[in-house]
Amino acid sequence: MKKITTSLAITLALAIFSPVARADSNGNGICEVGETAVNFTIQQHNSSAPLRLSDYAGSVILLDYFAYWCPYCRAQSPQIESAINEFYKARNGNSNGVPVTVITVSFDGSNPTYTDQLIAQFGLDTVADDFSLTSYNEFGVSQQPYYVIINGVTNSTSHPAWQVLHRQNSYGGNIAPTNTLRAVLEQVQAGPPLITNFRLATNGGFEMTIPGQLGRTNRVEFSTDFTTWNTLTNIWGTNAPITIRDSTPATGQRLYRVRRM
Amino acid sequence: MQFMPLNTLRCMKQTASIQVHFTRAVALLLLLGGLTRFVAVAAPVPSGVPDFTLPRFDSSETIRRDDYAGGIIVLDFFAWWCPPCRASVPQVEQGIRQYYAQRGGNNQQVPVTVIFVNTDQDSNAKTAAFIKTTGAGFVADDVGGALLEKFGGDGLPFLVVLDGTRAKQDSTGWKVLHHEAGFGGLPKLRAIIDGVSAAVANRMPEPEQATNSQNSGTGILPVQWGAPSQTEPPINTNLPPDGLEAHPTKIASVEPLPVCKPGDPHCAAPAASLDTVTLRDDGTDLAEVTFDGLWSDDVGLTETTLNYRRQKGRGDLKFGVSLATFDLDYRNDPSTDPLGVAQQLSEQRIGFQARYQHRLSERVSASGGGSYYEGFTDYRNLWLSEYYRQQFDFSPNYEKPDPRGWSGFGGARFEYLPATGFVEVEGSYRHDQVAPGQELVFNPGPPPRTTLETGRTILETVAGRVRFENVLSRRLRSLVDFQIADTTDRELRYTVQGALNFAPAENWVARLNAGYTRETPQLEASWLGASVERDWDSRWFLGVAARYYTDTGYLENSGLISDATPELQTYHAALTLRFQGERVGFRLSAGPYYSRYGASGPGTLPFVYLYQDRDWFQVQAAFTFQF
Repeated sequence: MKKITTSLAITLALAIFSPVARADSNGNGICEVGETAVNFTIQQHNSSAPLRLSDYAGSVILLDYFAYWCPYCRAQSPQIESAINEFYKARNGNSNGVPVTVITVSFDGSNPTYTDQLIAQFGLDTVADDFSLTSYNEFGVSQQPYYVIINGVTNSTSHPAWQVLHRQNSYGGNIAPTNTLRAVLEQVQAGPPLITNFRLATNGGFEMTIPGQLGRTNRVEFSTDFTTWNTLTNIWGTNAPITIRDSTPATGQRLYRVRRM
Repeated sequence: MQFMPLNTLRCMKQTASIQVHFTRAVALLLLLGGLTRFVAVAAPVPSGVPDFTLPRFDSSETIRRDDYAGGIIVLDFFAWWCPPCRASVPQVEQGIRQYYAQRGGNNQQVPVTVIFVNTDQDSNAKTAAFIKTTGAGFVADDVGGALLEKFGGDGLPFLVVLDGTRAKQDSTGWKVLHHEAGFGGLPKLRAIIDGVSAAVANRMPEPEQATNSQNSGTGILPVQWGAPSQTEPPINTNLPPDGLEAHPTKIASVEPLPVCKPGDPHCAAPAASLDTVTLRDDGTDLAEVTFDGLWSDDVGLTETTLNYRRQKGRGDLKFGVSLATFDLDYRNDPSTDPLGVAQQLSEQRIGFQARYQHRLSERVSASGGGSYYEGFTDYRNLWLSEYYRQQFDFSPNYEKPDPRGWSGFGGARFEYLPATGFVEVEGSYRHDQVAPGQELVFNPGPPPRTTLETGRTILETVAGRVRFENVLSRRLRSLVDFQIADTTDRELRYTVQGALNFAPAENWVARLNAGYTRETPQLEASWLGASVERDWDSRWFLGVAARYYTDTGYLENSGLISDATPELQTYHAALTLRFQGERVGFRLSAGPYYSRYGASGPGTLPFVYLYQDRDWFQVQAAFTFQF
């Protein structure tokens, strides 16, 4: 049996950037759109355990600033829950395959009973407490509800890591700006597609897992010399990763790569 | 009830003149706001004195003019239903008839004969009762008012002074010394009577103008009767759901005037109200019960008032107690108030009000009064308070609202044109402790960051108003009312409103009113109402009424949650039945009432069920009893 040498697809080794400092370009102390968010630490509502922004690396993050006494928050939070959180969960992320995380940030702890009742009634998934107003002040929240979108995809091909993509004050209405928020969430591209689970198939050939991307085509190519690349297959996108098998490997070496088309 | 049966010719003539006056009246109202004097147009006095023979009221004898040649005749035309006559006839009886009878004539010993002339064509029993009450001593019948017409009489009471001192030999020697609509007071009348000298054979005729006394406008006033003031205590703010009507912009109906004109809406159709029931000179006690109810699917409102009124001499005291009830199905808006709880709310408000009016002189009356209440002024405030309670009663700063208030007013009424022009001025002050709006305010400074802020709980309102009532013609009257109100933290509110009462035909009375309010820049409101009433037999009245109201709502959005009302339109129609007996009267009115709110602003989202369109049914009833 010939030894088949394989080479993993080329991947770019990207450093994981931590959101440590922001470029406060205008020096007003508020993290504006385009600047880099601080890796704030607030608390998980249920456990009071720390919740760091960096915990959600790899996804695009929507912060929904919420208070129990705020009627517009009450009106809009259920819409955010269903039209953003559940919507993207059902699709495994945005159309670029990027997971979307919705964090409802409760910033006023003066009536935990009411707050808990509302969270339960709305079925909010991820709730954080920011009673010390750490992130609240960071983003210059003044009226509620207030929405902030941050790119947590550190190797995104479209946006710098931890860049603030959107801030929106939605005070004064009972219709959540879901279309606007979705448009921003959709902009974030994933990092380069990575081939994973590369292995010899039990009955010959190679198997590998290719990340899916909703609405996009990932083309799997092979080469023997790093110069000439041939298409092995095109993967049209769902967001689910797909395992493919190249069952006709020739002797020698075969190099694989994935290109996002 | 009609005043006098007019022959066809006169009917036509009057119809024509009404239209002319109507047009002119409207123009004057617009241009001069009712300040203009618009003298009732009387038929010209014939140059000669019409000869007359009148049957006596209580016997088959007749009274002939020429029986009194050589003396003075005073004719006092009246009708039993004419309230000013009730005041004037006793004065003429005592101050003229008996006065000169005791003295054997005027100050120059010219005999003076006073004839009270009944112009009503029927209701002998009522006329008899009137004569008994007023003490009229010498009464003749001019049923239908034919003689009154000949003297150009255009209203009641109508007084004519005839000089017959030169008619002893020549029946053409009669002269009209004086004629006037409305009672000008004893001194004036006596001056005219005492100015007549006994005939001297060789005396030269006096210059015409010396004896031709005109109704010059310097006459003294008829006794005032009728509702002296439109000032309703703030109690009456419950019922209409209109946003504005909770404030003192309520339109008042045309107030009665102290002269009855033929076809005069008020005299022809006395309302079942304290203000129009027969008042006796020896003091009158009246009781009145009113009920006003308004129901929709989710809101029920009632107000019941018990009034007592005593009038004696120059004084007129009115005291009332009222009870209002609110029953409503409070509903939370699930989107903005998901934790809210639907509730059935029942509240009451009790109120007291008093008013005293005093006739200072023949032309001037002064009035003053006040009111006090405890409870919500209208159902909207109750609804809003329930919302705030559900939102914020967890807060240690939350206080249960305790709405209450009082008011005081003083005013004067002046007859600036005898029997045709009246002006009222009034100043008032209101002190309301209201159920305030509340909101949690979040302050991102050091804790505690959340505080419950409460809106203003004390509102003070200072208001002034001027009102003109004018008799424009026999069948047309007008009212113009200007008002300025200043309430704490609000801009000045200006209100102008006007009303016209006219008689389009025998037995018919029509009323029109319109008004406009502006409070820059937040609010504008206007309304228009019309009604017609048919008199069936002088006791039963049937009418229909309609009203349209619109306002822009309050545009302000002062807080996180604004309880400011959205724009509003209401449509109101009613069928009214009235009965007016001698001592008892009642009024029953019922009809649909539609309130239509405009789109809610974002601040009013939690109140979508408060500011929803409603179809109401309204019932109003009043019962009056004189004892």
